[in-house]
This record gives sequence, C-alpha cells and structure tokens, in this order.
Amino acid sequence: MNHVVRRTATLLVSVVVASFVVFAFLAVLPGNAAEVALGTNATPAAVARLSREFGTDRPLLVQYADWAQGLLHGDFGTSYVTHEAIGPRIADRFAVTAWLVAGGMLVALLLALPAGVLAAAWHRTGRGALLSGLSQVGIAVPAFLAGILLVYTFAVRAGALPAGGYTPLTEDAQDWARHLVLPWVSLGLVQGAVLTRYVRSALLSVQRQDFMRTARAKGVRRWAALCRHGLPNAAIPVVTVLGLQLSNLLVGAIVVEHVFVIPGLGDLLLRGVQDRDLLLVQGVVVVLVVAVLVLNLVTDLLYRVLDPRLRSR
Amino acid sequence: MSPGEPLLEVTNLTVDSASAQLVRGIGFTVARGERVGLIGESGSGKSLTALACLGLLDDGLRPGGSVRLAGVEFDLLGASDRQLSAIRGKRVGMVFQEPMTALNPVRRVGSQITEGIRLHGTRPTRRAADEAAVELLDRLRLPAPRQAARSFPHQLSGGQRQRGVLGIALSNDPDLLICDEPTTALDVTVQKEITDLIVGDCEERGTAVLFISHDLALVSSVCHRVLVMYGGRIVESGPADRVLAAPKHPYTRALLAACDLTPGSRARAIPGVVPAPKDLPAGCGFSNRCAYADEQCAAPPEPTGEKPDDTVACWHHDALPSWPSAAESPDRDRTEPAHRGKAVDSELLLSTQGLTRHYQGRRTGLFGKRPTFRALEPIDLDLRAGQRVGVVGESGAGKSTLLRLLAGLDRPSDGGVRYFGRADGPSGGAGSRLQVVFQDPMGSLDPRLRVREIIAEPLPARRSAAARERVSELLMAVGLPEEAGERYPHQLSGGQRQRIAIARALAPEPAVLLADEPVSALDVSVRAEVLDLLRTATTERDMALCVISHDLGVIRYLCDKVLVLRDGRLVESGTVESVWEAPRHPYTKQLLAAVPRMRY
Amino acid sequence: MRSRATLLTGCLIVALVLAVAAVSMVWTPYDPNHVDAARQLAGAGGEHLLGTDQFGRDVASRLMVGARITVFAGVVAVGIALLAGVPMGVVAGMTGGWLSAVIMRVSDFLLAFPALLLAIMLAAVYGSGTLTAMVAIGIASAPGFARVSRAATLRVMTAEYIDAARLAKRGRVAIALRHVLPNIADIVIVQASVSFSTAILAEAALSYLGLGTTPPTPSWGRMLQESQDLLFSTPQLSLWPGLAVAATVLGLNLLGDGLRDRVDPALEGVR
Repeated sequence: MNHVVRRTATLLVSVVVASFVVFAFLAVLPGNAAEVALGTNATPAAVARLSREFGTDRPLLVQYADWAQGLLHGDFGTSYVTHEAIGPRIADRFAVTAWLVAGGMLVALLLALPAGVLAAAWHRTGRGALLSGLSQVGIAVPAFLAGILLVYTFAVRAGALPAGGYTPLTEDAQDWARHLVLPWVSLGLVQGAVLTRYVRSALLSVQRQDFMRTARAKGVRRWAALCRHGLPNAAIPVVTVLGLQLSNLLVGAIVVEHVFVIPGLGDLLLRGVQDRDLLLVQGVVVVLVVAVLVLNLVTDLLYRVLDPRLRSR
Repeated sequence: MSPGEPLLEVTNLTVDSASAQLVRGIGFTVARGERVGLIGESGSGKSLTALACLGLLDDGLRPGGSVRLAGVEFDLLGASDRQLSAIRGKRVGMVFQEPMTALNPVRRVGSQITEGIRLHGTRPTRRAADEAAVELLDRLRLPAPRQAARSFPHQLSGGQRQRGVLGIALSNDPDLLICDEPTTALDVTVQKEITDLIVGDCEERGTAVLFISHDLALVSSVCHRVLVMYGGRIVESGPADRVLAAPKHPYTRALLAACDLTPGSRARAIPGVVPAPKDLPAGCGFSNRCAYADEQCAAPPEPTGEKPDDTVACWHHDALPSWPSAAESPDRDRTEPAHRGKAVDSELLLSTQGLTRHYQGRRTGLFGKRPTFRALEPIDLDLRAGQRVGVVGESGAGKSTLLRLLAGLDRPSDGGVRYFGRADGPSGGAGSRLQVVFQDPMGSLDPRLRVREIIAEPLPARRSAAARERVSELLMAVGLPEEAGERYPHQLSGGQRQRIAIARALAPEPAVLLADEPVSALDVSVRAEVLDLLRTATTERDMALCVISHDLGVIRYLCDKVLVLRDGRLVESGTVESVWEAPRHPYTKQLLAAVPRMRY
Repeated sequence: MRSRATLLTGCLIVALVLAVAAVSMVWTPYDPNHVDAARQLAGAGGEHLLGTDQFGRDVASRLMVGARITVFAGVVAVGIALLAGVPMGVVAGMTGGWLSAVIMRVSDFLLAFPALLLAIMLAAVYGSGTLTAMVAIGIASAPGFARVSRAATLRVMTAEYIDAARLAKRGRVAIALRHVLPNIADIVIVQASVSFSTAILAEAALSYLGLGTTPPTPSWGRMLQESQDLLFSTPQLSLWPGLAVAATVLGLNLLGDGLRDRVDPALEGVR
C-alpha cells in the first residue's frame, strides 16, 4: 500500500516535471510563435502585437502556469495556426491510437507467449533454433517496413484488405476491424518478436534454477513444471519489459499511422510539426509522455503483484 | 520389506557431456533402510550420479548403464518422463544443496508440499493434503508449522527452508531419500539439526538414504556404508567404519590426511589439483597425484574386494603401508617454532575500544521509525605481534562486520580502532601495514589483471624494478613458479588463487594480516596447504594474524586465541585450548557439540 | 558452438555494411543524386545493377551512400549515449547515496521520452536533419547505458578485489579506471551494439516520416518513403532499402547476442 502511494506521488511529480520540460523546450525555440505565424517578413511591431495577443510576451513560468492550469481541465489551448481548440482534437485522436496500441499489444502477446515457451522448451533442438532465428529476423524488420510489406501482400497483391484509412468503431465495426488488421499485425509482429526473445530467455534462465529441479524431483512432468513453476517466475522479468514494450508500441504507432494513413495521435503530431503548430505538438507530446509514465506505473505495480518477495517490503 | 534387500541397483553408470566423460562406469547398491554416503570433492561426479538415477540430468548430458529400483519392472535410465514422474517424489525423494534457491520463490511453502502429495494421489482431498503438509512440517520440527506452510520461502530462514525441501521429499513416504550436500550451505548448529532429523526420521520409517557430501566427518556420523568417488569413478567402497578407519585407496588415505587438522602439526595436502574431466589421466584417474603410482596405473584398475560391497580400485592397495602410516598422517615433528606465550608482552599492534556497528534499516511505514540492525555490539580486543586470534561464529554473528571495521573498509557507528598505538581515523586506517586475505579467491582477484600486477598492487612503485623483484620473491614464498605471474586468475586453480591473494597481502610487509574465511571456498584437499602457508608466513615474519571462520577446526588448527561471536555479541574468549577443553558459555558448548566428528 | 556462429554471422554482416559505407566515400557506380530522365525506373541488371528509381537515379549507388548515413547516424547516437551514460552509471554505482539517487531519477525520467518522440520534438524546433535526429536518439539512449553500467558497477563494487584495492590505498579514480571500467567494458560493448541497431531503426523511421535525413541525401528510410507510392507498380524499389535496414539490424543484433553469450552465458537473450 505504502509503495502504491509512493509510486503514485513519484508519478505526479514526474508528470509535472515532464510537462514543464516539454513546455520549456518548445517555448525557448528560435523564433517565437508570433514570428512563426506571421512569416519571415513581419514587422517587429506586428510580431509584438501578436505576441501580446498570444500571451507569449509574458514570463515563461507564468505562461507555463497558465497552460498547465488549462491542462488540468482538459484545455490544451487554441492553435496559433488553425485557431481550433486543441483539446478536442487530441481527445478524438487518442481513442484511435489507443485501439491501435491495444490491438498491437494483443497480437504481440498472442504471438510471443506460445513462441517463447516453445523456443525455450525446444532449446538446443533445430525447431528451437528456427524459432529464435525467426524472432531475430522479426526484430530486425522495422514496423513501417513490416507495414509496407503487409500492404504489398494483402492489399496490393491479394486485394483482401484496405491499404489504409480508418472507419470509427461506432460507424461500422466490421470496417473498423478490416482497416486495423494490417496495422495491428505490423505493430504486433515486431514487438511480438522482441517479446518472444524475452519470454524465451526468461524461461531458459528459470529452467536452470534449482526449484525447477525440486519440482521435477517431486514428480512434476517436464511440461507441467515449465508451465506451473517456470512461467509464473519468468513472468516477473517479462512484465518489466512489457512496460518498455508499451512505450515502444506507442511510438511505433506514430510511424504505423503514417504508413496506413490512420488519423491518430501520431498523424496529428506530424501535422503539427509540419505546420510548426507548436502548441499542438506540445499537447500531443505531453499526452504521449504521460501515457508512458502511467503505463510504467501500472507495470511496476503488476510486477509487485507477481513477486511476493517485493510485496512484503 | 526386510532390511538388507537391495532397493537401488546401479550398474555401469556413465554420464557423458559433449566434450568428456564425467561419470565413468560406476556400480553400487543401496539396500532398504540403509544409509550410504557418496564422498567426493567438487568435480568428482557425485551429484551427477544422483541426478542421473532420477533422470534429472541437464539436456546436454547423456547417461548410460542401468539403474534399477526394487518393485519397478523397467530400467530408470531410458524410461520416459511419464514413467519416471510416477517414481520421483513417490518412491524416491530428493533434497538439494541450496535451500535458498530450491523452493519456488513465488509459491507458498505449503502448496509446494501439497503439490507432490496431490500429484501422486496419496491423499484423497485437497484438505487432507493440506493437513498432511502441516503435519509433515510439524514432524520436521518446524516451529509454527501452520504459519510456515502459509509463508513464502523468502520469509523463512535457511534451516527452515531446508526443512520445507525435506518436507517435499518426504511427503509421500519414499523408500529412498537422495540428499545432495543437504547442509553445506547451512550453519553448523543448523546442520546438526537437519542431519539428526534426516537420520531420525529415516531410521523410524525405514527409509534408505543416499547421502552425498564432501565432508568425511559428516558422512561418518550419518552413514552405514560409504562410496568414495574421484574423477568419475568409485575408488573405494565399504562399511563406513572400515573405509574411514582403515582406508585402502591412496586417494581415500590422502583425503583423510588432508582433513585431519590436528593442532600443533602440519596437515598433508594432496599434491596437485583435481583435474578437469577431460584432463584426467587414462587408467587410474588419481595416478598423476598419487605417491604410489607406477606404469601399471596407466591401465584402469577394477574395483576388487572379498565382498561386492567392500571394494577398492587400486593396483597397489595390497602393497601400501599400514594405515595410519608416518608418511601419510599429519606431520607432528615439523611443528612450528615455539612462539606461544611470547605474544603476551609483544608490541600492541591493534586495539579496539567499544567498537560498534549498527545499521539503520529501511523505514517500515511512511512515517515509521527506521529499525536499527545491531550487526556488532561494543567489542574490545587487542592484537599483538606474533599473536594469532580466531573469530568464530555462525551467519549473522558479526564476524565479517568486525573484519571490515578492523580493516577500515567500514566505519564504526561508535567506538574505534587504534592502530600501532595511534588513534587514526578509520579512513586513515592502518595503511598498508594491515592487509586482508578474502574468502573467495576468484572474487578477490581482478579477472582483468595479470597475477604479477595483482600482487604488485599494494606496492608503492608498482612498475619499478624493485617491485618486479619483490613480486618474484613473493611468488616463490607462496610456492608458485615464476611464470605464474604472467597468467590471469581464471587460468589458475582455487588453491593457487588463494596463494596469490596471500602473496598480495604479504607484499607491503604488513604487521597485521586479517583472513576472512580463507579456506571455505576451497576443496578439502587444498585447504591444509593454504592454512599452512598462512601459518608459516605469519610466524616467520612475526605478524599478527586474525582469522575469521565458521569452521572451528580451522580456528583450532591456526590460532592460539579464540573469540566466539553470536548475534553481534562476544560471548566467550580465551586460549584455544581452554575454550576447547572447557567451554563456559552454553552457546560455545552447543557450537562445539554440533561440529561433526569423525566417528571411526 | 551456436553462439560462435551467431557472432561470426553478425560480424560478417556488420563488416560488410562498414566496408560498403567506406567504399561509398571514394567510389559509387553512379552519382547517387544524378537525375536521368531517360532512364526512369530501369529494371535490375544491365547497366544499373539494381535499376533506377522514378527520377532515374541509380539505386545501388544510393544504397551505398545510405549505408554511410546509417553508420554515421549509429556512431553519433551511440557515441553521445556512451559518453553521457557510462560516466553517469559508474558514478552512481560507485558513490551511492544522494548523488546516485539523483542520477538514477534523472535517467528514469528520461526513459519517459522515447527516442522517436524526442527526435520529433527536436525536429519541430530545429528542423529535420540527420544530426538533430541522432542527438535526440543519443540522449534518449543514454539512460540505457547509465542503467546497465550502474548495475555492472554495483556488481563489481561488491567484489573483494575492490576491497583489496582500497586496502592497497588506491583512490576512487584509480579504482574506477583500473578495476571498474575494464570489468564493465564487455557489458557496455553489448549495450552499444544493441543501441546501434536501435539508432539505425530510429533513423530509418524518422527519415521515412520525413523528419530525418533531408533530401537529396539518400538514406534508407527516405528511399522507402519515396518508393511507397510506387508499391503497386515497382515493389522492388521498396525491397532493396528495406532489405538493407533489416539485414544491418539483424547483423548488429546477432553480433550483440554473440558477444553477450561470451560475456555471460547466463544472460543469453536478455537486453
């Protein structure tokens, strides 16, 4: 309990610091928002006027306090470029990316658990070598390349699935899934390959532990020992990796959204960068960083549930 | 079910790895209710033998030969995992060396015991199995068995965990219990409890025991019959009293001599090192270290003897001098120069006043107080030139804390150490006039440095010609060839590494030498030579020696004075003789009583 | 035995990439940026070994220069991460106390900024470019080095040879240089090979997004982006740079795995 309180407090501090870092990073850039909005030929007077209008002539901390206060209410400010409220746009896109990441993780897990267990059980045999070789190749293929290959195979050649685009779940569930299958697989394949190796190596090192021999010596069969005694112990290091994996997936989603033209957070972020819409970039980055921090907290707590040695401390 | 009927019959057992044969065709039987000891140093193949019997060898190892168990119609070697699983834990239970890692850390102890009971269906219901597990833990004299069953392994002490492991092994009343070094990792008083428990319980239920150990005295106190292994072969077997009182094989004799740490004499180490399996000589595996070896030993000797369970595998066993022979027993003539008694008024090198070490533990609650862990309560001691003091105690006694404080590697929380009459701060310390020999010779030598550089480390000008010369001198002093200086630590054996650690400690000509468990990481056969080196090196140079050990025999062999620590407190001190002959503190008595003694 | 084969394969692939990158500095079959309108989308074989792209540029030459960019990107990113992370980790591991706590907090905090996200932020501020991207990836990889070297340092510090060195009156700096660094070096090298492949993947992804290497400099990620529109008609244009990225990363990972098995067989497959 104590630990949960302490970790949550750390999370809150990290969120505040992270948001400030992001804010400061983008606020001190060469050429302020007004200059960017007015283009290079603007007169200093015009820039000063617009700065006052945007509020960017105020001290940095005041600006941050203002922006952060807004964040607490879900108000991400109004874009200097499109003059739209940023909050609702982020909210719309967030759901899309969340679906993408969740599906990708599911694919990765469905792939990695059996593949990792088999690769560990078949360790030292040809089949095991083949599986771990395949996972090596899987890791080496970047998600966007996997995406391109999948598009070529299933959309271009077979014509079975759409090459890109998105339909909201609320409009047509079947079409929604058809559009997301390839992005899910391209995210899941790569992360699944990475995860496979972790599951395999965690199981292999657990298999070398004395308690596995104790289990076998009391009459537990080889496979049962692997599943009943091996997996619960192997899960502990794997879960720590899972936290990192989720943040990798989040970032991977940015690229995969680009491949499949999916209107998610990544797409929004890239558009913000293109338009030099800094307030928008700031908002999306903060949302993504907070998501990473929260996911890390969740895995850390899960880690404690799995390991009684940490629980009692 | 009559005793004497063979229960386990092993014939021509071999274990091969990809590169060498690790067990080279051994045969033995264990009768019902019989306790058989399997003695050997590390690498002798004794653990592999036990694992092979139950089909638990690692994937890379291949067994050969035959293992039969009474009442089982198939050969255990080559049986399927399904067939073996029905026997493991039911007919044969097994206990391993490391209680800290032998239990699954994420499952409760009770459930690990009931798993075996449920698996073999010896209790009808889950509730009955749970009850049986608690009863078993109670039978194994675990205090609060019900609570222990609900605990996770990390919540129990080493001895308690080993009772848990024993509980798993005994849960289905097996006919045979295989124990692989079951007490090596435990304190000596706990070791006694556990071995008493094994002997008592198995005696009562007629369970046979295959007891694997490197400790001859322990085996002699547990077993009826012993098998001595060397280099993957059984070199001698027979009733424990015969083998240990009148050994026939040169290896058994050498091992017994090496273990005999009679004070005031010099133990005899076995020359050379235990070779790696692939470097074993053809024929008799011991021939390259044996004083009696000749050309005949190039052919492998068969085990011979009047009875099949009393054998020796040596070409020359008839020709050996009668035991104990003068050449093999501890050397009582070459005792050290008389120096005892002189220490009383020699120079005071080191003294402590109220030396204390308390640690602040982790905060238990968000606003809770930090608990204090009392590693060492105030202690006063003096160390004079030529004096040899031993500090003995079990884990948690504060021995290592004391050593680190004396060496200036840790700061006392109260009190202090005076070095050479000056009250130096702990960081100023004794300078290079105090040096330490550490426990683990692998860990105390930087694997990235050559031996020469390691020994030169405490010297002032490491690269000078004088330093080079000093290193050569030291190598000779510790009995290593000059060219050993160019090697890396991993290229040397354990005993050689500890010699290098001693050479390094001697390099700056210290006045005080501290030794932390100097032989506990070494094989029995090389212990004696390292102890002798420590003794001669300190006596010749009139140094003060302070040895820390859990092994009373080591202290008795090496020291004149002994301090007994328990839970951070000094409970008794005095001359070695007086403490041995007439211990006053009950804990000292308990400690002395727990030391396994050679029965024969 | 198998770890030897892994190491060897990894070494071969990495050596090949390095060799191609080195050769591209002095020689390529064609000028990689020469636009030849007459020879658009030429097939493989013939005059152009791997054909030409939609602008008539020689694909083989562009791949070779791409190798150079890739190696450059990896070296910069790993160099930054190594120089920032290892000292942080060693200091944290050797000192303990508040300094260690501060260092590890900072490094934990940096972990919340994934490499690609940091690179996108930097690109938003300073514009895109290989160097900007690599600085971002280097900073994002530094915590990994800090953690690995701290863990390794902590393990080394418990070794008794460190106590022996202290008894020999060696100072902290001397212990760090003489005992700690040599003993953590192999673990750091393994981490470097893993980070190298991460950096290459990140560079490719950034260039693919148009935020990394700027045109006309050829980079594998950029080539993939330019060829994606032609996936229907000339899929082989995507094949070559894709294969190059995957093979290089595979080589580095195999190298890292092989090295790790040599360093500590018990760590097989663990990052």
